[in-house]
Amino acid sequence: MRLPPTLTLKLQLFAGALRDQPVKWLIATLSISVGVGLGLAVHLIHKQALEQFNNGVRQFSGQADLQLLPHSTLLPESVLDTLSALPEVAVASPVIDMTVAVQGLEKPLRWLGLDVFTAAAVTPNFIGQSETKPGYEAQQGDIPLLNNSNVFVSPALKEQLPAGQNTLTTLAGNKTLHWHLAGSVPAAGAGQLIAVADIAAVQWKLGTLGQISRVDLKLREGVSPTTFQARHGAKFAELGRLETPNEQGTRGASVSQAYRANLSILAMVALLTGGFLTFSTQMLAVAQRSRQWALLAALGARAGSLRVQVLFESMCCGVVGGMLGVAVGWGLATAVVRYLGVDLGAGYFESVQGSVPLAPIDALLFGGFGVVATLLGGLSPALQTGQMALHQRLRAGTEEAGLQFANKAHWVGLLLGLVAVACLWIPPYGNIPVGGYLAVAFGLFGGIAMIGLVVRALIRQPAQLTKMADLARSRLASTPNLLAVGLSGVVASFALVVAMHVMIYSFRFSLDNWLTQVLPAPLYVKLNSATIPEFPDEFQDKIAALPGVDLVEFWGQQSIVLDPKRPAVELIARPISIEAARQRLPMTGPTIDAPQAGTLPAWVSEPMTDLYGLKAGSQLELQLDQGTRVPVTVMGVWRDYTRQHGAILLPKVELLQQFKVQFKDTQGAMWPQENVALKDMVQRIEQGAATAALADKIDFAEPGEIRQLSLDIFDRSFAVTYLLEIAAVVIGLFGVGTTFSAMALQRKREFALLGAMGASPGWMLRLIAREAFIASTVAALVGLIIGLAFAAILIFVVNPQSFHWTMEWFTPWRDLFIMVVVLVAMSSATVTLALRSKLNTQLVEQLKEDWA
Amino acid sequence: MKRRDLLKAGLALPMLNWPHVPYAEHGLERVYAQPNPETLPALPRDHGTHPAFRTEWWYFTGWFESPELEQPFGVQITFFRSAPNVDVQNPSAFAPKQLLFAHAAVALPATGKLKHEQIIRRAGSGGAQFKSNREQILNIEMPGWQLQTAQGNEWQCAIQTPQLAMNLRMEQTQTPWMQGRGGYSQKGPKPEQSSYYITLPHMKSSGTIQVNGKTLAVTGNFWMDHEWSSTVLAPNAQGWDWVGLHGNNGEALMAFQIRDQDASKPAVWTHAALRQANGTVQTFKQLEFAVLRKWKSTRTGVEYPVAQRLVLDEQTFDLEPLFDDQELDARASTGTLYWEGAVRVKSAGASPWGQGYLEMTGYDRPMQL
Repeated sequence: MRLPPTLTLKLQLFAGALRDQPVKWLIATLSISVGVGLGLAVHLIHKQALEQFNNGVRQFSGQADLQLLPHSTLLPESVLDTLSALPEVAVASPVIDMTVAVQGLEKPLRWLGLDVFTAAAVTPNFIGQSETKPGYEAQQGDIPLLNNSNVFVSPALKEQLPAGQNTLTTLAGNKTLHWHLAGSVPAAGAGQLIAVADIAAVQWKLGTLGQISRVDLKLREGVSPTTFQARHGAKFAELGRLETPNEQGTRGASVSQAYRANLSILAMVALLTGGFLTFSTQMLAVAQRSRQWALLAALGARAGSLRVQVLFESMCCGVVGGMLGVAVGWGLATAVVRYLGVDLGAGYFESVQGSVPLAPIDALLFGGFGVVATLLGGLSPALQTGQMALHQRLRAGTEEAGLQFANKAHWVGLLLGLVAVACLWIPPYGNIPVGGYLAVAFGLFGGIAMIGLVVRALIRQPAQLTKMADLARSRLASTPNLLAVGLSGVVASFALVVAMHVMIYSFRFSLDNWLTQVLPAPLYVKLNSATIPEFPDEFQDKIAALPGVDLVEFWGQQSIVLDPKRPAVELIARPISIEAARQRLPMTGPTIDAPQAGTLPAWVSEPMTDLYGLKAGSQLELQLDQGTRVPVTVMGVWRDYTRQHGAILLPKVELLQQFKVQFKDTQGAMWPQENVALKDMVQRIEQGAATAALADKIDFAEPGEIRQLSLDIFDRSFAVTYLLEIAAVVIGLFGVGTTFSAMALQRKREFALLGAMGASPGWMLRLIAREAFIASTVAALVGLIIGLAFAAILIFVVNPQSFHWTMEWFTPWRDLFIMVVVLVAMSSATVTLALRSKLNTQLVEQLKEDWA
Repeated sequence: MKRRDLLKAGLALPMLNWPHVPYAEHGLERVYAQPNPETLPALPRDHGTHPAFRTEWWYFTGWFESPELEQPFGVQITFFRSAPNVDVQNPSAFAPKQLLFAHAAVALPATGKLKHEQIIRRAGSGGAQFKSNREQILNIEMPGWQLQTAQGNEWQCAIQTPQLAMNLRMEQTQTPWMQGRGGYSQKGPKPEQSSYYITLPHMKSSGTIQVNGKTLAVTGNFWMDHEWSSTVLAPNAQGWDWVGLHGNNGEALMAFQIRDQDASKPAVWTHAALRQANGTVQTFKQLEFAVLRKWKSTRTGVEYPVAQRLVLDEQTFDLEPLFDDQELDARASTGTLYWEGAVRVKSAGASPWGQGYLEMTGYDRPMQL
């Protein structure tokens, strides 16, 4: 293959630059690939998770145009008659969709109750196929699909069952039921674990008589779902909501949005670091290669083509980094999906399986990010390339001179800083804190543009050179811009690492404080088995009456959809008075003293204020199942770190008395009398449980354990973040090391001269170490300051906007100190190590080389 | 326990207070009533439903004309009620104790095949139900489908589906014909292989039929069979051939044979009766369905003797289909694949003698009800 001559020339020139600084280019490329890879991996994993979620929705809703879904859990079956009678409805298919504990299976099983006759038109892939066993003659008129004790299982479930097993045993309530495995559901989606039985059998045997989970609707030809929703939505608003399967998909996507946004910031960190490394590499190269440029100019190359050459080289780095990154990202996504089940520690993307497809558009997009980052990095160096006067370029040792323009860079930095601050007022787009991210990006550029100013301010030319430190300072002070450029990569990565760390630390600290506040009782109980839906009332009474119990509270929760576009909100009903709420809930704002007459008091969690505009004093009507409406007054807003999509706390007793609404109590808290040991208490409760058929069905926990568990979960979900922070710092350190090595190579003559003047290599090494120490201290300080500013943005802007909860600022002084020390030590060490071998050059050789 | 099952099976409906012979077969989860020659149906009451029996149908077949069409065409409408063998103690509203299904087919010679629609629902939920009381002897409803009669002399049928819609009124013109012995019709050698069987021939019918988006004003004559039973077929029965034929002079001819699974053996059971316009009924000793011509369905590969010669003692009736492809695939509702088609009838004495419908089941596999 023959390349066009211009491209060949470009590549030749680039090859020269690569030979000069191979490590530096490599690090920049790697950094780009990490950024691209991480960004792409997050994107692919999420896409996969969403795809599967949507597939699930699509599959479970089949060809339904619309579905009538309950506000909370179930619909009355009578709604089916109303729907079937509507002239626009072609088929209305009732569905029971529940999870049931099954003997021998670890997790509760998704169990569908279908009416085969209507399902045939909407969800035909969930209709069972009976398998007649050899030697079994069907009774005349026996219809396996309608048989009360028959169940059909998906192929994936069949595989999990022991071969030859022909019954499924369900444990519902206190009843054990045996179902005959009559066949399979061959068309259930791959990996789908489901059991399907006749709707009447499910209603009767699994206890939902009179109720169904949803109605799938197929509309007559020519009736659009939107028209139908508009015409009949209000009629069914009491009972539930009419939704298209697509609308549910949207809700699924919003669940993990904030978490993804956070991971994407990390990807951005890596990309920006790579961009800055490109910038510093190119900037120095431009300065170092000024003679090369001058020669080319003398040979007739125009400034324009020299600029293009710089951009071309940067782009090469971006292209290679981008391609590598796409490979890394794809591999990472595949590995995560295969081995971790797409949890990434946070549990947002559960049960995703299969291979991760890579769409060309995604590859191009994310690879493109890499190229854009390097092009941006190369932009400023390219612009500078043509501007040096020819005579300047032809002189040796003009690195710093080539960067003269940077003396004014702090004005640009100041401007960018102002833009960054202005960005903080940009409102979020959905859950995405656009303003916060822009502020971080602009702030980073601005901050780095100001390094030169900081260097000039901190490192002054000493009055006289008496000590080695003076020499080091003198040396650095004479090349402030060179230093600023060299440090930009590490400043960028260190700043972002500091920001993430302060944010996570503050979050963890706030969470810890919060946990202490929301866990006031000495003992907590929870049902550990799906077979027991709730603590029976008799059991609750029995526990309350136990000797040695001061107070006991049981509570339950139920989800409710307030806005079809948003994930469900948790309703919690627990015994609480207005007085107790004020003391025990971690309130974040003003509270009011009494609810509006005729309404129940309610306390909403922080997300409810952002998402639904609720605040103390707001009135709200909760639409529960069976047309029950509960008007409430918001008494106050409390902080909640567990239910990201919002929670509403209601007083349990009043809810039951005034509205006949009772949730299934699954948790409880207990205050034993002072003289009673927790161990004895637990024993007494277990005795009580044994007589109520709850033996071994209750988990006990002390607040300390719950706290530890929560913090462990927190740490796990941020484990990825910690890993990436380390990676970013390591990349930044490499950047520093290679910058100094490059600079040192340029200083061979200087070292040779010093050597000729009698300086030993050890002395020179100490000089360089001293320089490196001063430089990295400056880098660490600048990085720290920018990082703290970013932390403030993350804590006070990004987090409230994406997660809808607030946290307090806590500065991890110890960690920051350690980070600064480590950074300074590491970069000094890196530089020293990098230069150790290059110091024993002879003056004569150097001089020869220079004048050859 | 048995008694409770009976009550649950619907025997306690006040309208249908029959002294039935309960029939409990081994392996059945419920108890069905059986036809019995001592207890004969009475009208108009027994135009209504009989939920204690396993299977019941109201079967309309007839030739129709429309001023907008050059040729006459066939129309067939059936409403079924079936009490499947399920545990009747399930209190769920969805418990499939009674199923309702229906289909309708129009045989337009210009199309060359049947236009067919069907539905199946469990009674008692989702707008599917049946009622029989003194004011309204019969009302069967499913979303988009309805058949009703107040006292049995006037019937209405309304079907509204995307492909096919009908709105027909049927009027009784002759006295109801109680088949067999006063409505008790033997279908096999054993007493329980029997049904109650009432026919309303020559029903004057009119209304509208909408096919392929075009609404036609139509008039015609329906043959209506109402039949209910619990164990019609002998175990060795393969299927049946049945005809309901209208003579041009007001005659009505009903004949059927139940074929043995071993095709070389004679039919398991045969029966034929010819009623004159004046009401006199003639039965026959000898009955033979002789094949004149076969037609093989390209859709299913099943072969049907679409043209047959009916030999009744001395008389012969030649049946020639309106067109060959009147195969009806109702595997989605009743689970059966059969041929149900309009036929022209020639007889040795009169040509043409009349027209009617021929039904042939069990040509793909043994028929099960």
